[in-house]
Amino acid sequence: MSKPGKATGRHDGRLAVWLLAPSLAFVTILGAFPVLSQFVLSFTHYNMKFADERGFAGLANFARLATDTTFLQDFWQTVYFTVMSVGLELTFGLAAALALNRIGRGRAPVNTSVVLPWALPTVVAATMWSLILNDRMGLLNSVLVRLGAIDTPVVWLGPGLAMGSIILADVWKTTPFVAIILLGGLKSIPDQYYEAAALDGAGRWHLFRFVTMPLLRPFIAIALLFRTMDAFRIFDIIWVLTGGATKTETLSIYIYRVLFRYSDLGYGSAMTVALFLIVFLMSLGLLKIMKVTREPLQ
Amino acid sequence: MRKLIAAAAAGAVLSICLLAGCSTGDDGLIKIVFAAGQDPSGATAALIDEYNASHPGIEVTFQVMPANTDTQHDAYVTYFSARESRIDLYSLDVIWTAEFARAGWIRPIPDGLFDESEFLSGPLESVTYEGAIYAVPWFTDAGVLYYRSDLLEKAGLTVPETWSEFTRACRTVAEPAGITGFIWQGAKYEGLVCNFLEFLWSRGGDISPETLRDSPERAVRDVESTIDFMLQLIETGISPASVLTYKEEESRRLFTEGQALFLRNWPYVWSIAEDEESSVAGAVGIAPLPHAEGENGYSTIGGWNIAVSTYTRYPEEALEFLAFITGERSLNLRAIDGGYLPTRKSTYGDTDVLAANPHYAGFFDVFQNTRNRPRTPHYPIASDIIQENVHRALTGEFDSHAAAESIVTEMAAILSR
Amino acid sequence: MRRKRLDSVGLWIARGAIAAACLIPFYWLLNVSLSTPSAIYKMPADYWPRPAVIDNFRAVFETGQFLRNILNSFVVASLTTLLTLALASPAAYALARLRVRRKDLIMAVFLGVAIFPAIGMVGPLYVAMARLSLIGRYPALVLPYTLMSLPLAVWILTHYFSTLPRSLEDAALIDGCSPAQAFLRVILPVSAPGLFTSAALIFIFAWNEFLFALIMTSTPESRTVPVALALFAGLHELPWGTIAAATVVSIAPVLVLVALFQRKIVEGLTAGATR
Repeated sequence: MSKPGKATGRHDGRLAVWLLAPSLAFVTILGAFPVLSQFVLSFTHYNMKFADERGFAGLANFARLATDTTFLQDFWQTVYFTVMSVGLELTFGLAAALALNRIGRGRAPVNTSVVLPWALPTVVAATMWSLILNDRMGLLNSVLVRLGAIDTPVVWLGPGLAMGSIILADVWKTTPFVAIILLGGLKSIPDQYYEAAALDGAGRWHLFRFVTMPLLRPFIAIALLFRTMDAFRIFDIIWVLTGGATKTETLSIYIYRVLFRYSDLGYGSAMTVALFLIVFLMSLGLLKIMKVTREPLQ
Repeated sequence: MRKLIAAAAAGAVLSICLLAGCSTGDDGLIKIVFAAGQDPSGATAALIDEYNASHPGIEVTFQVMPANTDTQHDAYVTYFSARESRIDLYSLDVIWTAEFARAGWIRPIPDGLFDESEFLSGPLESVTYEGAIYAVPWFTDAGVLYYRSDLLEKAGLTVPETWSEFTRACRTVAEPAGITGFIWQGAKYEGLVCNFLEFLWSRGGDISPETLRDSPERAVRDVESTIDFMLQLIETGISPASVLTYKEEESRRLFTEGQALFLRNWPYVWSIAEDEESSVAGAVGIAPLPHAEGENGYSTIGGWNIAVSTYTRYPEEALEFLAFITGERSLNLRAIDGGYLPTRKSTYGDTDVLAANPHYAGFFDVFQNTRNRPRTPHYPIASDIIQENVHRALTGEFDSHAAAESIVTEMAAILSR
Repeated sequence: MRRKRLDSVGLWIARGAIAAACLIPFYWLLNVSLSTPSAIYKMPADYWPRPAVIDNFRAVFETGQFLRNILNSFVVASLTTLLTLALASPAAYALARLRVRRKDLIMAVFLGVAIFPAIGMVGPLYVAMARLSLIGRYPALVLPYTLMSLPLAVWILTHYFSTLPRSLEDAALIDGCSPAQAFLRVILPVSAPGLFTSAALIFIFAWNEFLFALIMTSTPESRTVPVALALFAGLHELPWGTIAAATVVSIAPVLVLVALFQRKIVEGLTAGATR
């Protein structure tokens, strides 16, 4: 790969402004109001239903948050869900991307089938899983009983198993997202690199370890980053499958309850802001670990 | 590629401008929008068409929403908090009246729009908040006991009225037949609150603001023994542990597939159970829910009311339409075509309605003993307190005494706020 | 040689397993959509519909409305994809290739927008869209969706552009192109895999979004697919056969599109081979 060239000239700066302006303007105009309003509201007592009880709250909402055991418990459950599901999705997604990368004949059917779970509307996917996991009439228990693996139906959404079932459904649904990103990343690696390394006598493990992985790293980082952010906001699947029962409630479900069900914008916004800060710091940490912020791979 | 991008960008910008620019012309029509859950039968849409045809100068539009309660609540709260004037009338779940009235989102209904004495008492209670009426009852729902009439008959049993008769029937009929005794809705969601309250009321308990204030110890005792009773149903195998993951449809399916002797559910199950696709068609009966000896059974009231938005620009026209859509003829038609249970007493004596729904006579009995869930602007919090504690106690996370204590103290705090 | 054949057999087994894992639940959905209501819940389950009926599909097409809903989703998702790529690719090019001060900060701003939960944004954005009287029109969905998908697109494209060899532009610049021309004529065409990867993800996101689609649209004709699917359900009743049929119908256009995208992603590879 060539050194970062200076050939792009001195009009760089002005061109960059023109290229960046539209998207930054778009984000600012459309995004500033919703985002800032949350920050402002988080310092107020503001319930949509009780106009007479509004007022400045200072840090009261955040103080309440610090002692809110539900928030704390949900936080750890969210972390558990995120680590498990994102970990599995990255593993399966990477495996799938590698298996599908150099596919020749028959690629369209196979590649397209991989996208299916991701293309299914989340609510439908969640309802589908609730039917598949149903203890008495679900496909899963039906197959397991027929295979003789179990005698009595397993209550997949009951205590102890519910979180695992939710993770299963989420991994099924979202692994394609990771696979698509990584597949795009693999396609960005020119064949010459492999040819050159193969000429040097590198084995397959070496090719994977020293050519594929380093070049794929930024894409793994992106998949990891955006999946982590999404997993932290998991909502529909849990809402449909368990409603947050038996230790499956995550932060976004708690936020949903406070913001939408209780109409408590003040406290709900404080939780949103806290969640935002947590995820933002976590993302920066991830980026630091993956070393992808600056001039990736030049 | 460059052309493609340029064309795409131009196309996107152009279509956005075009779509943004084309506003509807003002033709002097008064446009009323009525937001309500989907009516698959088409009866509501037909009524609205009829109304529009006979009211030149007014055009009522039906904003069809998904029927799901939570989905509608999310959307309506967003609309109200944006002071949306585009929508004039909303259909509200019976549990929302206090909440929306307290927020100032819906208008009190003026005296004389409808005759209160013509309505069922339960739904009527659900539209009142602090002495005023904020909505008109539209259709109702109440917990009903479905039973397998064929199996009870074969065993020579009558329909059980008390819990002890009920559990005996489960043991002597369901167990030998290899089917489940009793299925209800125990998942952590609003339905659990309805089921729990019915269990509680049937044993003489309640969690009304007065009881919580005057005799909290009694309330704790009643709530605790109710949770223990529900636990017992599961421990003795009368109900499977998986009821704690069931909502309406999961429990209904088991019953209509012939795998349960008793089912607690809403009236909608009737037409499915009697459908030719059902495995129990012709072998199903309905009855009031069982109760403890010396007590009365009560059904939790569900159903929907219609309210006028505070932000409407046409309050008079909206009220006029409201009187039409909740009028006797409209309720009859929706009962005949859509099976929506009417809130007016007279409809249950209407020959056309009874010809289309012979089972309504049975439901009318059930509707004599109904109760509302706590009517408070804080209802969503109250509901979560019950859901959380009852479900955790039933899955063994909390012991029933601790759960009962938190329900009573937290509910008392909410209701006195 | 033998090892190579063994490899390819193993690879095809892996591919088969992946396809099966993705397809089995979907196959079951198809099975349900062709079954009668009582057959759906039979236990043990039937592995193919007996008897197969098309009643569910007939129910989906009873009114022409569902086709209209699919069209809406298609328009919204396409406009979102195009607008997002039109905004994101220049920005990504600048971030990947040009000297930009506070590059990290800009990347972080985009990330911040992506982190913000949609349920916190829907209220304020509803107010904004209502002020602009856009409710029930396409922009009310396209604009928020673009806001939400822009960060992912910027991130993917930035990293994609920075993997391209510098020699590409250097050659173009020597040929007398301006940096802008180099971007449009050289970089974008060879970036097809990156562009179509982003496009596939954005399109499907916009196709499936529910909350904004519910709140920003009002008439049955303006609904998109996810909301239309929710409209099939009754207050308590879930006509799962009809919903499954509607899902099967609505997913077909997405699959056709993804198949086309896939070809573009692979075509990009051959373009890359010449660089």
